[in-house]
This record gives sequence, C-alpha cells and structure tokens, in this order.
Amino acid sequence: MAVAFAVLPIYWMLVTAVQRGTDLYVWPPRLLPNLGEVGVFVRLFSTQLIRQWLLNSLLVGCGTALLAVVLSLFAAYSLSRFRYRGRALFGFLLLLTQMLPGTVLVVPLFIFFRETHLLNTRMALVLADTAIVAPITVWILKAFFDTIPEEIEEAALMDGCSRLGVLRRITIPLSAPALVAAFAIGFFEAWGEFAFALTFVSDQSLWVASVGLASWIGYLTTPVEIMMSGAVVFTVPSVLFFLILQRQLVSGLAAGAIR
Amino acid sequence: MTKPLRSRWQAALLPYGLIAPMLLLVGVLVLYPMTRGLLVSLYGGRDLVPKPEDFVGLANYGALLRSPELANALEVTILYTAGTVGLALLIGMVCALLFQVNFPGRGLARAILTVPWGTPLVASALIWYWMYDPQYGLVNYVLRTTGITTANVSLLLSPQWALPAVVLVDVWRIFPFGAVVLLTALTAVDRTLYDSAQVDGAGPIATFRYVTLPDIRPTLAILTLLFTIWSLKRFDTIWIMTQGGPSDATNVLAVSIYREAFRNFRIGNAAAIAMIGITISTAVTLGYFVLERRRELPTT
Amino acid sequence: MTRYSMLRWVSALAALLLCVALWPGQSLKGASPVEIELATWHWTEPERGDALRKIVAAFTKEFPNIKIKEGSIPYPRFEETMMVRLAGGSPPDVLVAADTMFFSFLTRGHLAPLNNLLNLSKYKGDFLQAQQVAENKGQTYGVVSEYVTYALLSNKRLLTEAGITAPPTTPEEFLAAAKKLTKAPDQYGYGTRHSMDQEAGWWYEMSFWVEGFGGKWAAGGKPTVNSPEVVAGVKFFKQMYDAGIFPKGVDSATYRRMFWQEKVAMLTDNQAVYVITKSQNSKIDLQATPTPFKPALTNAEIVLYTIPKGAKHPKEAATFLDWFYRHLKDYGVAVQNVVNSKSANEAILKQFPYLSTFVNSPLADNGGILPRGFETRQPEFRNAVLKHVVDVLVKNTDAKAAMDAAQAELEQKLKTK
Repeated sequence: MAVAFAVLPIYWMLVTAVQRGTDLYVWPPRLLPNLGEVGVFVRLFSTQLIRQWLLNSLLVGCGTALLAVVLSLFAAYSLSRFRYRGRALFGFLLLLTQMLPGTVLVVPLFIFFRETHLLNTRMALVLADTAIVAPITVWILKAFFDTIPEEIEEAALMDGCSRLGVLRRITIPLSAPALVAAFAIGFFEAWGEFAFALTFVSDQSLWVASVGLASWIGYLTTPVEIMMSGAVVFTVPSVLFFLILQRQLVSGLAAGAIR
Repeated sequence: MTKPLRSRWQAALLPYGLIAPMLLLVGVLVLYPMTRGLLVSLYGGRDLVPKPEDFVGLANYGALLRSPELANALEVTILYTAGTVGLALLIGMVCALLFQVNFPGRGLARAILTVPWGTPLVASALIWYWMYDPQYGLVNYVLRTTGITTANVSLLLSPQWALPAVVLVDVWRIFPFGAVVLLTALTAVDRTLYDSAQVDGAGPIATFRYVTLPDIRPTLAILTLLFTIWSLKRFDTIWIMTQGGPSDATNVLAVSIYREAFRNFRIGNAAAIAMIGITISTAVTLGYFVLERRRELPTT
Repeated sequence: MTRYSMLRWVSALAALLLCVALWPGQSLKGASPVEIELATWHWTEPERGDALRKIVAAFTKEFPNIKIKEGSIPYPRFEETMMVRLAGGSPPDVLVAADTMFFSFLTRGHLAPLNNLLNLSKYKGDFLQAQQVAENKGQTYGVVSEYVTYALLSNKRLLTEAGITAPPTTPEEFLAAAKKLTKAPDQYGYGTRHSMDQEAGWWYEMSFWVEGFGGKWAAGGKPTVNSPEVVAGVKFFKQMYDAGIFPKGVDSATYRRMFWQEKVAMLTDNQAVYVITKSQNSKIDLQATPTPFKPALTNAEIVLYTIPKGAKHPKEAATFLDWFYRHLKDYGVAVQNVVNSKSANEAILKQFPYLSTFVNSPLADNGGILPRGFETRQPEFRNAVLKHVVDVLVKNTDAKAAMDAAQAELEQKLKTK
C-alpha cells in the first residue's frame, strides 16, 4: 500500500511524460507509456540551457548539503555532548528558525543579498538554503548522537585523545548513516527550493531546475506532457546522483570506523 | 600551572566554539530578519518595505483576532497539520520497518522512495493536479471504473474533499523524509535487545512496542516536532492546487500569509499572521522541551 | 593511503571546487557597452519571446553600445517577484507590466515618470485610447505596447454539425447552443475558468459575464457587487455551471488544448488564444465573433513598458522605449496583435483581418477588470468576490445572498488603507 502510494504518482508522471499531446485528452486515459515518444528526454537533455539548470541545481544542492552537514555536525555534537549555559537556548533558537514562513523572509534576505552583492549568484542560494535546512540537520544529528553510548568516547578520551580527535575518529564513523541522511536532507531541500531561487536569481543561465521548470507554466497554456517530461528530467538526476553519492559516503565513512 | 588552566578554558569554550558558526549563519540570515519581521507586524500600509509613518502598533493583531477568516484559517491549519503529520509519520514508519527486512528488490524500493523527495515542488504539485484532473486524471479514472462514482469527480472543487486531497500530496512529499530518518534511527538500535526479546518470547508487535519504540523515541519525537512546525508554514502545494479555495476550505495560515504579502502586499498584516503561527509553533516546541526535560531528569 | 584519508582529500578537493564554482564572478566589464535589463514574462513564452528577441537584436544593431539583458520571471509569479526587487532596491531598467501590476507598482511609487526621460508628445496623435491608463496626475508612467481583448471564439465545424448556423449573440442563445454542443465527457460547448486556483484568470471571464448583464464591480467610489445586474451575471454563471456545459474542475491550460483538439466548441477568450489555436491546429475551422451580448462589449488586458525608479540606466532604457515604440508595427506583426499605434494597426489589420473583431468591440468600463476607484485594490477585490461566487457554484448558496456577503466583506476590507 505504502509503496503503491509512493510509486503511482511517479509512474503516472512517466506515462504522461511520454504521451503525445493529442493522446492525453482521451477517455479512458492511456495507462501505458507510449515508448515511441521516449525521444523527448533526449531532446530535453540536449538543450544547453536545461543542462545548465541541472548543473546549477547540482552545485547549489551539493554546496548546501556540504555546508549544512559540516556546520550541523559540530553544532549537534556541541548540543549532544556538553552541558553548558545557553545550550537549551541555542537548541530552541535553531528550532525557532523553522517556524518563520519563507514568505516573510524573502524581502529581508533580498535586501541582505543586495547589500552583500550576492544577488544573482548561486552562492546566495547556498547560504539561504543552508540557513533554512541546517537547523533541521542539527536536530536530526543530535538525536542520533544521543543514541551513541558516551562510554565509547570516554574510553578514547582516557587514551589521551582530544575531544575533536574523538569526534573525528569515533563519532563521525559511527554516525555515517545519520550524516548521509543529513546530506540527503540538505541536498533535496536545495534541489526542490523555489521561492528563494526565483527571487534572488534573475539570469536565466543561473536558474536552478525548479525555476526552469516553473517557467514552462505559460501565460496562456501549459502543456502537461512537457511539464511532466521536464519533471522527470529534473528529478531523475537528483535521485541518481544522490544514490551514487550515498554508496560512496557510506562506504567511505564506514571504512574510517574499521581503522 | 598555566597549561591546565588554558586547557580548562579551552574545554569550557569548546562547545561554544563548535556551535558558533552555525549560530552565526542562522543568526544573520534568519533570526535577524525574524526580529525585523516582528517589528514589521506593527506597521500598516501596503508596501513590502513599510514606511515609518505607517506605524500602527498592535492594530494588525487586533483586527486579525476579530476576523472570522483567521478563525477559519486556524481550524483548517490544525486539520491540515494533524492530517499530514499523522499520515506521514505512519507511512514513513511502516516503510522504515519494511526496509529493515531483507527482501528482493529492497535496494530498488529504497531508491524509488527518494523520488518523491527529489521531485521539485512545482513538479509534484503539477503531477497531482494532473492526477486529480476531473476529466482525464488517474484518480477520476480509478474512481469511475471501480464504480465508486459514476460522474466525473473534481476533488479540488469540493469543499469536503479538497483538504484531504492536498494533505495527500504533502504526505507524499514528506513521508520519504520520515522513512529515511527513522531508518537511520532503526539501524542504531542495539541488535542484542532484539535477540533477548525473542528469547523472552515477545511477538513482533510487543518487540516494536517495548524494544524499538523506546530506542528510536528521540528521533521520532524530533521528527514529529519538525513535521508539525513545517506543516504550519507550508503553502506551496496548496497555493498551486487551490489557492486556499474552494470557499476557504484549504485556506491554511501560510496561504493567508502569502496572499497578504504577495497579492495584497500588506507585509505588516502578513507578518502579524506569521507571528500568530510562530506563537503556536513555539507552544508546540516548548511542550516538546518540557516533555524532553521530564524524561531526562531521572537519568541525570 | 587508506580509504578514509582518501575520502578526506577527495571531499576537501570537492569543497574547494564547489567554492570556486559558486563564487560570484567579478565583473571586469568597462563602462561600455551599457547593459540594461528588460524584465518581462514574455521571454519564456514561445511566440512572444522570439518576437521580442528579434526586436531587441535589431535594436542592438542600431545601438551597439546598449546591450539588453533578459530578465525572465515566469508569469504566475511575475508581480510578486518584481515587487520584491522594486521594494528591495534592485529594479530592472525596463519593466513590463500588465494593467493590474502597473497600478500595483505605480501606487507604491516604484515607477519613474517618463516625461523627463523621453518626449512622448510627438506620438500623441498616434496613441490609442488605451494609453490613458499610463497617465497619472499629469505625468506619464509607461508606454502601452499592446492589449489583448476578448471575443467569442468558436469552432465552425462543430457548430454546423450541431445545426447552429450562426454564433450566438445573446447569453440565452449562448447557453442553448452550448447545451446542444455538449456531449459530456467527450465534448463540451464551452470552457471557462471557475475555481480559485485560477483566480486571476477567472476574473476576466467573471467580469465579462457580469458586465454583459450591465453589471459594474464598483461605481461612485463604492463597490457595487450586490447590484441586481451583477447578481444576474453571477446567476447566469451558475446556470452555465449547473447545465454542465463546461468541463468542471478543468483548468485553462487543459480546456484551451481541448478547444484546439476540437473537444470544446466555444471559448470567450483573447486574441493570443486565437493565434495559438491556429498554430496548434491548422485544420481547425476557427471563427471569432463579438461577444454574445447586445450591445457587444469586451474587456482588455493592457501591457505597458515602464522604467522603474532607481533603475541603473534610465537614459538607455528610455532610448530603448522610444525606439521600441517606433518599431511597434514589426512587433505587432510578429505576435499577430494590435498595438498602441494607429498607423501601425492599419498595416497589422490589413495583414490579419480577423483581428478587427477584437478591436471593434467597445471596451467595458475601465477596461473591464479594474473596479473603478479601486484599481490598486484589484487583487483583494477579486479574491473577496470570487470566493463568494464559489459558494454559489459548489455550495448552492443563493446568488443574491452570496453577493451581499461579498459586498459586506468588501466594504469592511476597503475601509482599511
């Protein structure tokens, strides 16, 4: 049931993507893809601008994910392992950031990026997306760190290892799955983000995929099959890329634990 | 003599140093604008950047608290939040538990699970919009061929069904997030606990109840909290699919905020609505902290 | 090298590369040529985008020192995105605005008066009446480039097959014809927007039916949405809804395509839809006639070219505007649309005679979609009215009661500044 729920819309997106425009408006609807139309993906991928948008999304996605993971790794470790003044307050402040609707944030951030001359750059998107997503990854990582028994670390501390050494040699390898999950959260958040990307970047060549896709919503009409093939083109790379990366990350981080 | 002192200082400062970069980024990009937002809610006028002469004090709040629209928006928001959070957690949990079991095609299934997540927001709303199309959509087709209805159904035009319909879309978008995070937590559960539970003759449900659940509780709790906070501010799907209609049946707080800010350009009023939303979120969060504190106290 | 340390190196390298890739490129451009940004949603529209690009290329050829940068924002979010840029102090040099947006930008003081920047008086005799929209307190804030108006588009073949010899000319005839033409779910007599997710577009059709019955959204500085005429229009819309003559819950993107696939017989739509229908289905026997009212009337969407306050290169922007106006004919021919120039329209109408239907119908009060006296409050006005029309449609609320409620809500809302 749950799998069908996840898969059905994706299947429908694929089927719609490869229909001819005239075959969409028939009863009963065609339930099978029209394989003769698969060329549409090749056509889209061979468009220079679309490849550029995908590349931009990839850069912004990775940038956000990396920055978010690095920042939240330290922050989460701090929140999980130490008891100090301000700890609860910091944790709460981070959660507080999640409560503000992006709508209210767009204008002040726009002014901030104008003043820092970051408008129309991918850097602006990385910073904004990270600020939104990093507090989430902090809390996910903190929850995970909380489940790692402190005794393991204490043993290493006894051996004369510094705190940061413990973090690097023990905590990070042990948290490989959580770090990968955090990376995924950052990556997909940035990949799908729309409001910031639309407002802070006006150069078509700097657009990310989500804005590019939205630009096909026309003033007069929106061709469903083209939107859907676009959706496929703008979804599949993110998923593929992530899956490849996930394998690398998990094995890489886990290898550290063995050593 | 100096060295231990220095290192003690270092030890005391370390946690602050670790969290500082994060606080800096978030402070500059979110918390500072947020404070500004609080101030903006005290202004009237119809500009995105309010003018000083438009200061109105608490008038926005006063008008809002009297308006029936806000009451309706709050009610819809609560229904929407309860629906999305509950369903997304349930489905996410089921998926996470499923992926614990080794079955053929597990890798593929896990990969597919990430697709809804990797789908740009605009795309997912459009897919569902098209699936809900009362003329040629899949949902209509299924309902009609199974004989549930005989006429074309337009869920998004129906005051009763529009809200469940948009809830489903957002559940579809966020449950993979829940599944992935929960799966991560499940991998950390001590295997030996399962073995001993088995020795004790506990069934799968009892094992889940007494072994798995307590262990992943922190993750589950934070996930619930995050899903709730997000649901309170999510608007994109609804904006694309119904813009709050029909008859305000899907008009959640976040949609009101968007309409006030970017249709009517009354940023002050929008900010005031946002502050009401934040107050609710804060109440939920504080509830979480209190529960967490109570749980932690006996052990520390 | 162990795997772990290799991973470290690789990720450090990746991070470095990413930083380089993301870092904003420092522009080392000299003073010339000047680059001006032209912001419009037209860039991403198939026909208009190409037509505009051609015009811009011709301009750059004549003025090699002025380069034009495409500021491209999708139509559904154009107004709000531009408003953020205007309020945030980073406006484009030339800003294209539809009428509602124009008022929105103007009242917030974001547009520069053009009188000091370019001499428009020499074109005074050539302007159409629509140019008046851009006048405010003795100043001109924009140059109207084109406007689209609404007419009755019908599929002659389908009409003939149903035994309808002439396109309807009254609402009653229209409803009867549409009923005859409807063979649900394969064919419908009509297609129209009717739900809140299409709020902005629906306003055109709703205004049009209401005005056809003599209704006005506002008069004498007060909303008049519960006047008998407006209520009659709403009632008629409900009648059409109940008769099932248009596909319910279907958006304009879909029913317009159904129209050019000959599954919808009639539309009340604008000339751009006429053009796109022709280009999508060359075999369709398409006709455009005046709207089914006596006297016929239509509403219009006007497009203006403006220069925002705080634009970096207002002089160059003005140079472009002036040049663009002088070449409006080429643009009008390229997009098959009448433009804001009497002399150009002669040539355009000669080339596309069907356009005269769209030009000759008299415009409804204030262009139809702008409530008189509340031009700048249109989005709020629209939302309050349409929300209550939805009640009539899906909840069977009485039309008069619903419009009374809308009137009360509007009076309350419009009181606050």
